[in-house]
Amino acid sequence: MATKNTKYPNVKSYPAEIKKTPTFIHGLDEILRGGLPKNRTTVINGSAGSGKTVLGLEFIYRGAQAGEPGIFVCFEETPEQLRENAATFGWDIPALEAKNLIFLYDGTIKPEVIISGSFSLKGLLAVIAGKKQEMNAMRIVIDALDVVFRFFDSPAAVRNELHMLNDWLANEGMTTLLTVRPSKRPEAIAYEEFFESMGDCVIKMDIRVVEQITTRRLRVIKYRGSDYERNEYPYAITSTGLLATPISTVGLKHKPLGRKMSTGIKELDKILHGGYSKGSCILFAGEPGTGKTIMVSTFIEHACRKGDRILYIGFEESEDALVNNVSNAGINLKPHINDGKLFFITNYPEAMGAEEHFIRAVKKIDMFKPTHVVVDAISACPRMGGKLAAFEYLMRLLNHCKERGITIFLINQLSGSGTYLEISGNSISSMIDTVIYMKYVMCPGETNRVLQILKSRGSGHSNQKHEYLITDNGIKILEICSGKGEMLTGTARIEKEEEEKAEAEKLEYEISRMELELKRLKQIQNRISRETKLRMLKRGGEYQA
Amino acid sequence: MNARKKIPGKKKSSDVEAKFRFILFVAGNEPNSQTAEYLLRNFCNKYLKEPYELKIIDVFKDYKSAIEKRITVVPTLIIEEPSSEKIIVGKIEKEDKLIEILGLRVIRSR
Repeated sequence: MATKNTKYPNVKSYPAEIKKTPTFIHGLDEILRGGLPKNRTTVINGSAGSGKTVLGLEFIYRGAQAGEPGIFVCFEETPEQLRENAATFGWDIPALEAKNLIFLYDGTIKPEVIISGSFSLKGLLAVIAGKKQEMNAMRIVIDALDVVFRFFDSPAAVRNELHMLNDWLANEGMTTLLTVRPSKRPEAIAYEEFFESMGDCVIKMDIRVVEQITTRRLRVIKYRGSDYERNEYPYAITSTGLLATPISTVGLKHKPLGRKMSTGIKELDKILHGGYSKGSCILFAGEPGTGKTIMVSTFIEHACRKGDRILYIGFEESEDALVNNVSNAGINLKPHINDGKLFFITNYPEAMGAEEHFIRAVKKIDMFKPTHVVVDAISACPRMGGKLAAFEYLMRLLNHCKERGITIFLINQLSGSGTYLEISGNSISSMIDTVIYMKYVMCPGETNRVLQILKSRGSGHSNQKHEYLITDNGIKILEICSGKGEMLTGTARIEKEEEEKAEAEKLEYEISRMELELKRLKQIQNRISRETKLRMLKRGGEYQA
Repeated sequence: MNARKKIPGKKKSSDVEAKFRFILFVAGNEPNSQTAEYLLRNFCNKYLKEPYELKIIDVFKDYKSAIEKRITVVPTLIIEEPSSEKIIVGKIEKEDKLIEILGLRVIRSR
C-alpha cells in the first residue's frame, strides 16, 4: 500500500476523518458514516445474487444524478442488460449516458475469443483513463473483476495484474468500487486475500436462506481511516434500489410518551388511569379467541372517529375477514377504510424476508403518516425466517415508530404456556410500555375471560383482574367481584351474587321479625307497667279506706 | 501507429483489396504487446503471400478505437479478413494456431 501513502502524504496529519464520497444509497451512508473513502478503492465481496452489481450501479447512477460522472465496467453482464435491469428500479441510465454522466463499458470476454499466451489488463486501463479525462469521471465501478481473472493462466499473473491495477487506481484519483465474488477454486483464494488487502474499505454482502426464507446481510469488514458501524445489517433490493437498515440508533431518539387517549371502553380507561399513552407501545397478549383483535378494533373505531390515522399490519387475517369478524362485535371499520383513515397491509409472514417486510412497512409509514400502527400478530413474525429475524423486524419497526411518536399496538397470540417471557413477546419487552394480558379462567361448567394489566410504564393502573364479556355491542368490563379471597367470574359470580341477595333478604326478614318482637315486648312492658300502677293505686285506696 | 505492409510484385497493390486484414491492439511498451507485434510481423512476412493490411493501435494513444472494439486486455488481435471476424488475445506465441485460424496451407520450406 506504499502507493497510497505517496498519494496521500498528509494522511497522518488528519487521521480523524478522511474525505468521503457518499453512495446516496439509503442506509448505507449511515453504516459507512458518510460514504466510501474518496479517491480510494473499496472492495465488495458478495456471493451470487447478493446484489453487488445493483449496489455498484446505484453508486454510479445516484452519483451521476448528483452531478458526479461515473464509469461502470462490467465483466459479467452486457451494458444492454444493465440498462434493462436499471430501468426496473426506475433509473434512466440512457438519459445520463446522453449527458456524458455515465459510461458503461462492456468488458465481457466473448466465448469465441481465442486465448493464446499471456496478456494484460492495460487495455481496460487505457480506456478508463481516456474516458475519465473526457467526461471528468469521479467514480468508477469495476463489476465482477474476478471473471476476467479466470482467463489468466496462473495465480502469479493475476497477482501481478492486481498490483498493477491497484497502483494505477491509486494514482487515478477516482472513488473506486470493485466487486468480486468469492470463489470456490483453491487457486483463487490467494488473490482473494489480496483483493481484501487492496481495498481501503471492504464490504461483505451475503445472501442466505434461514428457515426457507431468503435474507440479505451486509457488513463492513474494514475501513481504513474511518469509523464505521460494525454489525451485520439486513438490506433489501426494493423497487427503487438497495436499502440497508442500520439499527445503531435504537433507543436514543425515542420521543417521550404523550397524553392519555381513551381506549374506547370506559371501564378500561378507568383501569388504565385514563387510557393508552400516545406514542407508547401497547401489547395485547392472549390465547386465541380472548378478543385481542376486538379490543384493538374498538380503539381503532374510536380513534378514527376523532380523526386519527391508523396503519394495520396484518399477518393472520385478510382485511375483509377482519372487518367482517369485528363487525359481529358491533364494530364498524368500513367507513374509516373508505375515507382513508385506516389502511391495511396484509401479507403472509413467509412471503418475504424480515427486511423486506420492514421496508414495506416503513415506506408505508413514511408515506401514510399514521398516528397509530397495529401489528397483528407478533407471534407470526418468526415465520419470516426465525426468531432472530422476527426480533430484528419488530425492533426496527418499534424503533421507527417510537422515533416518530407513533403509538404501536402489538397483538401477541399465546400458545398457552403463559410464561411472562412469552406474554411480553420475543424479547422485545424492554420496548413495550403497557402489557394487557387477556386470559381464560376455567370454572366448573364454563370458561370466562379476564384481563389484567401486567405493566404500564409512566402511569398508574389497576392491579386487579377484571372480568369482561364480548357482546354484540363490543367489550363490556364488569365490576370486580371477590369472595373467599379470590375474584369470581361467570356463574360463580352470579351464584355469589344470588347468595348475597338471599342472605340480605334473610337478614331483612330477620330484622323485621326482631322489630316485631321488640314491638311486642314493648307492648308487654307497657301493659305490665300500667297494671302495676293500677294495682298500686288500688292498694293505696285500701289503706286510705 | 498505423503500419500498412503490402507485398510488392503484384499489380497496383494499393487498389487491390487486402486478403488479410489485422488490427493489433497494444499498450505502449507493455512486454506482451511488444512480443505480439514482433511475432505477428514475422508471421506475416513468413507466411502471407497475398496482400495484407496490419494496423497497430496503441490503446494509450487511441482509446476511442479501443472502446469501439471493446478492448479489455492487450495484446488483442482482431482478424477482420478473411471470413468472419476473429479475436485472439495474448502474445500469440504459437504460429500453428494462427495458421489454423487463417486457414493457410503452408508448405514448410527447408
